[in-house]
Amino acid sequence: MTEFIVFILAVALFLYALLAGADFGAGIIEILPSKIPTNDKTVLIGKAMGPVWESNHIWLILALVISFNAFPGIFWFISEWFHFPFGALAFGIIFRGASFTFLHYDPIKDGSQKIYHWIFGLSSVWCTFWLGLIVGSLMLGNFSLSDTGIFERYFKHWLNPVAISMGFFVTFLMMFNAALFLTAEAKVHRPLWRSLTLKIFIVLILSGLITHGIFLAYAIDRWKFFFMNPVSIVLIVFSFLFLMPQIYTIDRSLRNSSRFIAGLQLICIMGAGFYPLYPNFILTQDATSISFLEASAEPAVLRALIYALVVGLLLILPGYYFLMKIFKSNIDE
Amino acid sequence: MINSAMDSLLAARLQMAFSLGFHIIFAVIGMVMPVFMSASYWHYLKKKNPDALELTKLWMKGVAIFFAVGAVSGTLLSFELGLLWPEFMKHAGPIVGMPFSWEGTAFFLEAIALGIFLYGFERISPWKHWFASFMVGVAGVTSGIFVMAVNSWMNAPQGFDFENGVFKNIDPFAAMFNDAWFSQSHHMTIAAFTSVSAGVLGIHSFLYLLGRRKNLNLLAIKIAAPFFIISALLQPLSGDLAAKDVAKRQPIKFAAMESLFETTRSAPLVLGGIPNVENERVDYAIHIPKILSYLAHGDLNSEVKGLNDFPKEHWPPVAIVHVAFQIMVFCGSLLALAAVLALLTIIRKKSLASNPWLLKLFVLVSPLGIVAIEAGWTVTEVGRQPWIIYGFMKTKDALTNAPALQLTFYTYLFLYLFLMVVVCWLFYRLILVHFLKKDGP
Repeated sequence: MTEFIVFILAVALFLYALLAGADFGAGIIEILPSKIPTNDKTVLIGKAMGPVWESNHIWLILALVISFNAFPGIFWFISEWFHFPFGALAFGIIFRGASFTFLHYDPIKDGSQKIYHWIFGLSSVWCTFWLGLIVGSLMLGNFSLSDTGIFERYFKHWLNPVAISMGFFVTFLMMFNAALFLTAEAKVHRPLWRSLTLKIFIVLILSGLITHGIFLAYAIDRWKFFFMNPVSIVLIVFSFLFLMPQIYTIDRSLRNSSRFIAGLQLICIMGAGFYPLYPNFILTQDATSISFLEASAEPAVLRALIYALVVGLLLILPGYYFLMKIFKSNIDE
Repeated sequence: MINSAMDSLLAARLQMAFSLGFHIIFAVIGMVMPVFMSASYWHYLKKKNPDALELTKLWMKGVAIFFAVGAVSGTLLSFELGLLWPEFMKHAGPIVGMPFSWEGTAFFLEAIALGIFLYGFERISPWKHWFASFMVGVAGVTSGIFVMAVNSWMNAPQGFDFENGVFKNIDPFAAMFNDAWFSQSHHMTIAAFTSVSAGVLGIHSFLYLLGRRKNLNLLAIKIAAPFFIISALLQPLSGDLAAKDVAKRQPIKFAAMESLFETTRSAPLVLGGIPNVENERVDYAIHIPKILSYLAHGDLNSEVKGLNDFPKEHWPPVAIVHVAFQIMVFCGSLLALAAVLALLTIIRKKSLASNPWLLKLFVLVSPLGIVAIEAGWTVTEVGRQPWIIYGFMKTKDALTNAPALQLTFYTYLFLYLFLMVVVCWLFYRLILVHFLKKDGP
């Protein structure tokens, strides 16, 4: 029962990273200097993200609901120890959502569009950075559960080079994800979109190397724990191998295949990060841990949650499929 | 910077109050406007009236704006629950998780249906398209009802055994269908319809009186008026049921609402006034003999518990609860009166638009529904203090230990005020384009 819920939680987080990640990345690309005319970028991003952006972010709400329902100990830990990063992320989410709405629903197109446009872009950078920082901090595990000091409890585990560099790496990863998605969707300026994707890819690789370097220098044991794990190594190799078919599908405008491969790549990257941890979610430097299996709620609660998830998915998926169908015709126009 | 625990607690409570107070406006609009939008679209599909289509599209834009801002402020709230009240979520999360997960499903369906409606014009068959608009409304109302299950559980906690400070043997279904759910749900759902329909009537009456797009505004008035009349007339009955429920389950909250200090038989209803807590009386109030006993227990001679029956440390802030309750009742009564006048006009087979005074009254009462909702939530939440889970966990025990909560509060306050100004500005521009500019939309 617990494993099934962990699986659904992982799916929700994966879909959030994939769909909302592309959405965040698109926001950054919108303000990124490039040869693609700004207006064309805004129109494509609006068309590509508009119908689904609200539902994209509901995957995060689903992940939060599953967490506090089934794993209250983990939710408590995240809420307390990541008080400031999550607070900052929430702040970015509200600015981003509001500016996107204003950008696309303000009936008068005047100078205010530029302000919405910049707020949307900057808050997208802000959100992806904090998301990445949280992931980096969880991987580093630089906390001790017995710490009671303000700095140790609320700042130490994320105010360090590994978490910060991971924040930048995830920002570039989301940008790359979005660039792939938008290149596949673009009807005009396709060579320019391809060139932009390539540039972001180079920056992503550089950022990845720097993050690894910092991780190695700062916490070699923890680096080995994640990156010398055979499953993680295989997954990382696969994520690179998928690049070739990815380039092919973009070149041939095979939109669905391109999305599918982007999803597989992200599964590999996220799997490489979280597989070594499981069944733990929090693994601290002093070897104490909070595990999914130990921190789960009572069986009656898990059963009720499973009913809700199964019925909920049965209700949601047909509608979601229908929305995607309409969404495709929206882009094609 | 805050040092004392009380300062942090106040900052966190104020932040939560502003977040909920901001979100609730968008939540109720997101619940009810899709129903109006759907009614207007139905009108267009049946009668092919171009004004109905334009009205549908105008309301659709409004729904999109309010829904999106409501979605992000709701996401923020789900963060704040954990960030400000981690101990509450740690214990209550598994108990109230089920209504939250159903609410998530309903909200997801609402977002999908809205996406289909926004982008489905001329891409899907008209009646399928209409069904999407209808589903936005159904999912929105359902979502609100599930959220009420969570709040009502905080007022009537059940579905668990409490042993040595731990919540055990959780029954999520008993928690969800708690004793307060029904009364809070119908009261809030009706309030949502009353406040939003009052707002819609007010805005379109104002534009009608200005002489702009008369047919379109008249159609909007015709759609909103039945919802307003029915909900505003039902609300006093719903309020009576809710008050009886509070008197039974949370007598201390009920006593604070009425500022009743001593337990009294044949207790009088207190109208208005300013509670003088130190001297345990209400200044400048009107007392109507025996009516409070009747309203609380359906018997003119029944006994109503007073605040002095409870330890003083368990008293909520009496003055705030009393004044908020009076504001809510006053606003609700005025809205019911406006509904009676509108109903009389219809019974006399006259058009609502034939009576400019009625339209002016609609304009005047239009903000009262939202004021009543804010006041009602103040009664519910402040009236439960000092408890976050009534009788089981105090609010101060649920608070995070994180520093600088005052700074966070001011930041969020600024954010919400800023967003409110921008949304109002956007709303003004929407009206400007559709009604006030000479060249029209």
